[in-house]
Amino acid sequence: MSTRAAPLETTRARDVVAKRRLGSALTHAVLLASCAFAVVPVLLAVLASFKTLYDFYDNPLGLPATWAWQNYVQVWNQAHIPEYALNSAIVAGGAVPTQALCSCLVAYGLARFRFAGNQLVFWYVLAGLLVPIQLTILPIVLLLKTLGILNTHLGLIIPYATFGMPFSIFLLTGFMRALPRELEEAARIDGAGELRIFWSIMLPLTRPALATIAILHFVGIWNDLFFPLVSAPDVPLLQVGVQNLRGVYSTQWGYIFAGVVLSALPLITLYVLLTKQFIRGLSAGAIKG
Amino acid sequence: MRGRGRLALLATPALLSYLAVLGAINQRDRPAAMTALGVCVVATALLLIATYRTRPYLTFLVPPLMLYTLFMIYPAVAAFRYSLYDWSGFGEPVEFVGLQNYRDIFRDAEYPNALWNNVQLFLAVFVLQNLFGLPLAWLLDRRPRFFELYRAILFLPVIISLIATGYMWQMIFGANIGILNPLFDLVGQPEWRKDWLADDFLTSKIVWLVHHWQHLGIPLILYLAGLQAIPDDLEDAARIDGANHWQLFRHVTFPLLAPVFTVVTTTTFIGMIRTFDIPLLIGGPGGAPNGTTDVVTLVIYRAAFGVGGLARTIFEQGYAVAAGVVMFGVLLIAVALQTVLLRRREVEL
Repeated sequence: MSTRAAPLETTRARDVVAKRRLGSALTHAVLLASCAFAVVPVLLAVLASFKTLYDFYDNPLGLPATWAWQNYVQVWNQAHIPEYALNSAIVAGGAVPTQALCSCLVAYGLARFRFAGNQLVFWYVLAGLLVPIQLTILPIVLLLKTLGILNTHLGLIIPYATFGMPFSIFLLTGFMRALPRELEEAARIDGAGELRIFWSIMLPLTRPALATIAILHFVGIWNDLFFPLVSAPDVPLLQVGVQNLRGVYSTQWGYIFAGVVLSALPLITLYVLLTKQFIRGLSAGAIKG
Repeated sequence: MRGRGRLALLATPALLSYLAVLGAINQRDRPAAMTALGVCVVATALLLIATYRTRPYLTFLVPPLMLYTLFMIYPAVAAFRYSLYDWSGFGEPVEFVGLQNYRDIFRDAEYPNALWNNVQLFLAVFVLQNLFGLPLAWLLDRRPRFFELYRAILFLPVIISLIATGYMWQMIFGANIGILNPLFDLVGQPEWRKDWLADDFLTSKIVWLVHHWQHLGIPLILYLAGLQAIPDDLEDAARIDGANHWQLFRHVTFPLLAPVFTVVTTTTFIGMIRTFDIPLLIGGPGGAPNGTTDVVTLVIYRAAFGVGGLARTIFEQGYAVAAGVVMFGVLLIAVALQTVLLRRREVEL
């Protein structure tokens, strides 16, 4: 009995192994093709950034004939890319922590205190999720003008700090509600003030959620075009500068792509270092639309 | 009762001075706004200090919410008001025209055309995202080798700025530097050459494709998270009962993914209605060629900032803001639908 069954079993096992191998090969083929779709435009841009003007016309499909590093030197020196990147860094450096702190304060107030109207305040904050910037841009510009901070770094930092608040508060409130209360109770019994409890106990516990919203917010500011383009022509942020490259260099495509690559490099570097956090943050951010 | 009376006494100056700030800003009266702001800061500080022991939540909520109201809620309310005026953007809006701007929006071909382009963009991207995002997520869920690398690469376009994306796709379709036309020459099919970015039919399809490229990572990750949340024993049980792959997907996996599907649909819709940068870079501010790449944000942009659009050359802020309100209405309907659909699904599950 057992002598007859053995060969049959091995054939079936071999079949299963063959099938699994085929399936795995197909899986990798599909995934590789999809990855190619995702990176080909990026690679083409990187290649283009090393091409001289002649290369674009004489040799559109090939690698650069000579690798024109001077494209980068040119753009770095003339197109103000470092200056624009600095503007973006200053604005993000101001707005991201401000927004994180404000959102944490509100989230803590909503998650940990019972009072009449708690739910009402929560919905009041969530209503902001629906307001598109294209609707409020004009009143915001007038508001900034009245406050005397239009066209300044501060005039970008404060609006950016508030734009993302509804979503951050939504996320942080949920996160804080799920945290255990024991630590706070213990601190309260020891006589710590509410702000002290918030600062020394709540904030450290919230760190993972804070990383998520900070990344989401930072990427949003770094990549945004509409708001700085319209409201602050004198404080050009990075993407405004990248958009202007076409006007500055016309058909000097090598320079333009050197600028594009330079502008994307800081984020890509961060992404490589913190892939998981980026994916978590940005897909959480998708929910807000 | 005494506590409440004291609270009212303390809160009134803070609230009144805050309203004074909003009023002065609405009048664009800078000195008055600054004075009111100073009073407001002092009054609020007093309120918070006095209530810190009895109502500590006020300390956490009031200052950030004042900022939020000033920069999110007030501008939205002000926008609704401006939309009822014929206003160039200079000086105070004085000429009240009621719903005239809204009538103009739907009478001109410009806005309906742009909105229809947005809707088509959504439909196309929606189909593409599900057609590719869901199967790719399913493949990744089986944890093939190099899982992390695949996921990182597939998600990469999401972090590329929209403006850089626009330039990158010039390398493929652009009239002077695109590689597609030379590629057709190379393979001996020069008759396939096209003016990709100036073609009434093709250019809008390229806009679809670029959006798809940029956003695919998001539904992929959302579906992947959804798939990973499905307990294995559910699928195992169905398999033991003799379900094949399709039945398994149709009757077990997809119903459990339904909430993710709704979220993907809504976020895609909101994203495709709000899109701005990619159409701007591919078709320019005028939605070239012939308005086929026009979208509602570009209509607003042209009306508000007077970029030579299809027909309008002067600033028309009232019109721009009304166009924004209509867009807000469209988004509101989408979110309401999502809520209703999600609720219904929850009952089913």
